[in-house]
Amino acid sequence: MSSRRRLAHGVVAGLGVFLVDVWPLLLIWRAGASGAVGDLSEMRFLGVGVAYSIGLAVLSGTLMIIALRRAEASPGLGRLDPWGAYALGIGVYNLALTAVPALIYWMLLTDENESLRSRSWLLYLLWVAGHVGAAVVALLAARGFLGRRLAPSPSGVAVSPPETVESLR
Amino acid sequence: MGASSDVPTRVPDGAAFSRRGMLGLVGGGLLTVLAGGSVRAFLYERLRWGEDFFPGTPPDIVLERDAWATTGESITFAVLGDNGTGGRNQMDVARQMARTYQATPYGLVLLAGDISYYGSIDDRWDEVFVEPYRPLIDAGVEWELAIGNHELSEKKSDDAAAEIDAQLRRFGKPGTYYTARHGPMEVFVLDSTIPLSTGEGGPEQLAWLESALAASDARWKVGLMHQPPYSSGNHGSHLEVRDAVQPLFARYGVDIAFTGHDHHYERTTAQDGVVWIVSGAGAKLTRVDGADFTAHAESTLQFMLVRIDGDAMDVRAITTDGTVIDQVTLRARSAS
Repeated sequence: MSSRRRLAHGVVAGLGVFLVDVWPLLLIWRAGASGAVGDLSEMRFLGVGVAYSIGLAVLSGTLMIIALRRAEASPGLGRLDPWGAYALGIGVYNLALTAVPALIYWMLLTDENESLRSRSWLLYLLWVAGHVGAAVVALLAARGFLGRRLAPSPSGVAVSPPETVESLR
Repeated sequence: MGASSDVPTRVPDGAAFSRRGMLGLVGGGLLTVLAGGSVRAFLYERLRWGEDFFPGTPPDIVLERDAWATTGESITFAVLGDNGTGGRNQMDVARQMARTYQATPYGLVLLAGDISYYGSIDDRWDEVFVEPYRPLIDAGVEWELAIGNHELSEKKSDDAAAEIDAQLRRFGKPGTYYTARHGPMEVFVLDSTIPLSTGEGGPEQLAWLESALAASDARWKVGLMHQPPYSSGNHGSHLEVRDAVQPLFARYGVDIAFTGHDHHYERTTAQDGVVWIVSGAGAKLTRVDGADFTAHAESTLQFMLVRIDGDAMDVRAITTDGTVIDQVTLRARSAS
C-alpha cells in the first residue's frame, strides 16, 4: 500500500472518530432548540469539546497509519486487521464514554437541593478524566487486539506456517 | 517458513482478520456508536445546565413604572413558580415576563414558592430575585408569596423557621398564610408545606381558611400555594391538599388556584368548579404525563399571565419566547 493510500485510510479513520465523538451533540442541539434544558449553546464548552474531538481524531488517524504499516510488514495480515482493531476501539470508547454523563448525573445531580454550579470543578474533573480515560481504555483494547496478531516470535522464526493459517480460516 | 528476527509474525492461533470477523466488529462498533451516543445525548440533556450551571444574563429592559390599571372591576397579574435557581432558565423566564409587561402591563406577581434553591434567601437575594426581576421591581410591581418546600428541605428546623421569617420579611408578608385583596379578586395564600390535617398548625390554618373564605365578598377568589392537589408530573398530586383544601375551595366558590412544586405547566378541568394550575416551570423542568383531570399539560419553561375583566378571567401560559401554550377563559363562579 502506498503511503498516500495509508494516509487516506488514516483520514477516514480520524474522520470516523470525530463523527462518533460529536454526533450526539446534534441530538442535544436539536433538543436545545426546542427549549429543553440541556442545550450546549455555551460556545466555550462546545469549543473545548470540538477541540478534544479533533485531537482524538488526529491521534486515531496517525495510529491507523502506523498500524497499517505494521500489518503490511506482518505475513498473513491484511488491512482489515487494523480496521478490526479500530472498530473494537470505537466500541469500547463509546461504552466507556457513556459512563461519563451517567457518573456526572449520579454524583452531582441526584440531590435536587445541591447546586451544580457550586461544584463545577468536580464536573470538569469528571468530564476530562472520563474522556481521557475512555480514550486510553479504547486505545489499550485496540492495541491489545492488534498486538496479539503482531507479536514477534521469541526465536525470530514464524511458528505458524502460512498453510496452517489458511487451514484455520 | 523462516523470517528475519525484526519482522513481526503471527501468534500460533493468529490469522489474517476475516471479512466476517471484520463485519461483526464494525457492526458491533456501529451499534455502540448509535446506542452509546443516544444515551450520552439523553443524559447530557438532563444535566440541568440551564437550571443553575450557566448563570444566564439578567434582562436589561427598562419598564414604564406603574403602567398597569387595576380597578375594582379589572386587574392583570402574573404567576410564577419554582423560580429561585439564579440560572439561565430563570433569567430567560424573567426576560419574557419583562417583555410581556411591555405589551400588557401588570402590577402583581403571585409567587408559588421555591424562590431560593441552594441557599438562604438572604445569601441569594440579589441572584435569585433582584437581578432577574429588576425591571419589574423598578416598575413597582407587587408580589405575593407562598412558601415552598425548598425553603425548608435543606435546613434544620430552627434554620427553616429563620428562612421562612427572612422570606416573609423580604416580601413584607404577615405570615405563611394570609389573604390579599387586589382589585376584584382576593388571593388566599396557603402554606401547604405542613400537613394540613394533622401537622402542627395545620388544622388552625384550615379553620382560618374556612372563615376567610366565608367572609370574603370578592367577585373572584384565587388560591395560591406550593404543593398541587392535582398534578401528573414528577411529584404527583398532593392528596392531603386535595382532601383538606379542595372541598373548602369548592364550597366557597374559589375560581382558580395556582400552585408549583412540579416543574411543568398543567391546567386541570374544573374540579367541582375549581380550576387548578401547576405553574412550576419558572426555572426547572421535569416530565409531565397527563391524567384524567388534565385539560392541558406541557413540560416547558413558563409563567402565567392572567387578566380579570368583570366576570371574565383570561388565563394564559406563556413560554420564554412569548408563545402562549395554553389559554382559557373562565367565568366568575360568583356571577352564576
